[in-house]
Amino acid sequence: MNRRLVLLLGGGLALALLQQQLLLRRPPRLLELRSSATSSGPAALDLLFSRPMARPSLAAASRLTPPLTHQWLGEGNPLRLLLEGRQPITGPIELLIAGLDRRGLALRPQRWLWDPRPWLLVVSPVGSGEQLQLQGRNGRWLPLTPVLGRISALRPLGDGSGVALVSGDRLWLVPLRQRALRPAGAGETHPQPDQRRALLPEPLLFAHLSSNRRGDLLAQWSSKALGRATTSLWPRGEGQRQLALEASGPMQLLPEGGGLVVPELEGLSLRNLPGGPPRRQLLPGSRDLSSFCPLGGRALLVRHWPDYRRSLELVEPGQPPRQLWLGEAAVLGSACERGGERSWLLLSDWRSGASTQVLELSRSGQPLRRRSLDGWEAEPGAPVLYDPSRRQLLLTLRARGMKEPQPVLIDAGSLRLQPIPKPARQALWLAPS
Amino acid sequence: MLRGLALALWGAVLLGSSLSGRLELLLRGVFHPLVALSGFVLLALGLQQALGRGTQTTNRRSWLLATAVALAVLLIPPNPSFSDLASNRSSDLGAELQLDFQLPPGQRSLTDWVRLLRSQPDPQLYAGDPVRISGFVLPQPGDRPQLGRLLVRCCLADATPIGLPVRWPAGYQPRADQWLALEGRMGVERHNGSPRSVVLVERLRPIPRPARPLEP
Repeated sequence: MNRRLVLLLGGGLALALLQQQLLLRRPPRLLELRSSATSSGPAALDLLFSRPMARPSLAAASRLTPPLTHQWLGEGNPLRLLLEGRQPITGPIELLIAGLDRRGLALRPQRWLWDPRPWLLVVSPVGSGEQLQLQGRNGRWLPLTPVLGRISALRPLGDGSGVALVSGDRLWLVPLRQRALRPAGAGETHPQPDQRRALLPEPLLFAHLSSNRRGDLLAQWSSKALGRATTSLWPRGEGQRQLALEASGPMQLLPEGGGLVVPELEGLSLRNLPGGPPRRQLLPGSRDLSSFCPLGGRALLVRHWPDYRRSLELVEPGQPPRQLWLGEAAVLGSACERGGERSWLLLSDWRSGASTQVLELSRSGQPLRRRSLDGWEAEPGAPVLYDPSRRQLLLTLRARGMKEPQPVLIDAGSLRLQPIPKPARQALWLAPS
Repeated sequence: MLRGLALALWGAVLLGSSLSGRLELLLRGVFHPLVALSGFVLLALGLQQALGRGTQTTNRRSWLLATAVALAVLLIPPNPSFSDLASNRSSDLGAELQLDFQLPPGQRSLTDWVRLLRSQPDPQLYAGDPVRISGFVLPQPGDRPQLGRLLVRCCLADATPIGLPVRWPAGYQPRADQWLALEGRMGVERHNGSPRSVVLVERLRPIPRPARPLEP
């Protein structure tokens, strides 16, 4: 009996020792590599390893081609590769990942191609209908849908996994397959559409769409049958949920997920999505949410004053809104860099013949640059979107005398216009994933 | 008689720790009813043995020692040093870094901040955010003391220390284990050649150790 017990205990001990020695000698592995949705630079990559890595070793042994300035952040696992400064990204980045873990074991070197640039997505008139098209890296336009009826609403999912659109009174989702990160040597591919599917069975009267970086989709819609507004949420990978929310305008999901901004009669309220503790924070006053900044919790608001003037305000966590601009011109759109270090306004001034201009403001509201868009008209409802990876703004403008609007890129450094010769009724960025 | 006394005393230790809240220093709240129940059973068993006509106690020396230790715990309750414990434990949070919540910065606890900074290690993202946290002073070898907390799944035996770097007010000497409430903003500093988030203290207030100092 005793002998059997000793054997059993000894066997268990030997097995544990063997496992310990095997694990001690096992080299570290890269478990996950993904583009970070939020970063303080032009782009960032999150790396998850099987065990904590020695960051200095990884920084010394890894390489980027072209050699963009970057830094490695984190305490061992996960680590973040952050591209620094305002260097624009002009093509895919080849990445060699190598280095040692904290015990000195080497990671097997790996080569990846990473393209953090968003894709340009347009609604283009084709015949008597409209089509969703995407511009490939070589400049060619690729259809993502067949020719549809009028596309009245369009919202790319914030994680780049698809596009929601309203066409022919129906809400559709076009799932997309992307490979912004791929092993080196794999050929370049553009997003591939899968079979589109209807998200709601009823014909719609209207729909407003919003999405966040997680890929959740929110729709405020009204059907011909029901006749009243309903709010539905499709959390990423899950089915439809109805939200019991009353709003006086279009709601917007917070980019980082977990909450949404609801316009109410008293002001803008910030609420949690189902799953989180109930929360309602109200910012009173007559304000519209104009745009979110890339850094969490920062946004630009347009405040309407009783004397018909408007102001642009920057909201930051824990602080009252800070006025950046005040004037009588209409604010057609806005965008901001990082936490509001730079803001751009698209203004239309009725006093000067509805002239349109882009105004660049510093964090303190100091006007930095101004570019008059003579000969151009802003397309109503089209947003101003900022791409930090190439430091450029995307607008949908119509050249005077032209029938169709077109996408126009504006370099954020010089405010120089770069019109894209493509008829487009809406132009948006599709996030890489 | 001696065995009954030892059992009853240990029952009293467990029951007393549960009722007085002292168990909060050692064990997560969900396990407290289990400890209280064990204490009650031990106390009942001990009293039954002590009052009944029990058999002769064997291993008398062991039971004597158990009685003495139980008496010592009752008379001189343990007062663990969190910073001593933290210095001997790994601060690896493992893979539990996914954040499923969205909190305004001013409402994030120290634990929320540490989880956020480890999952998204990009200090510039949080620069200027308001910070309102509490914790104990956690000395760091070769660095300024941090403000720390202990995370536990079950009890102190599996505690994981976490800490946030703090830029203390000029001239202030933080004492190890002292509990403080800090208000300020998140800033960025370079440490070992790499940027990291640091709490820039605007207000500092000593506080008593919270009733529930361990965080899940």
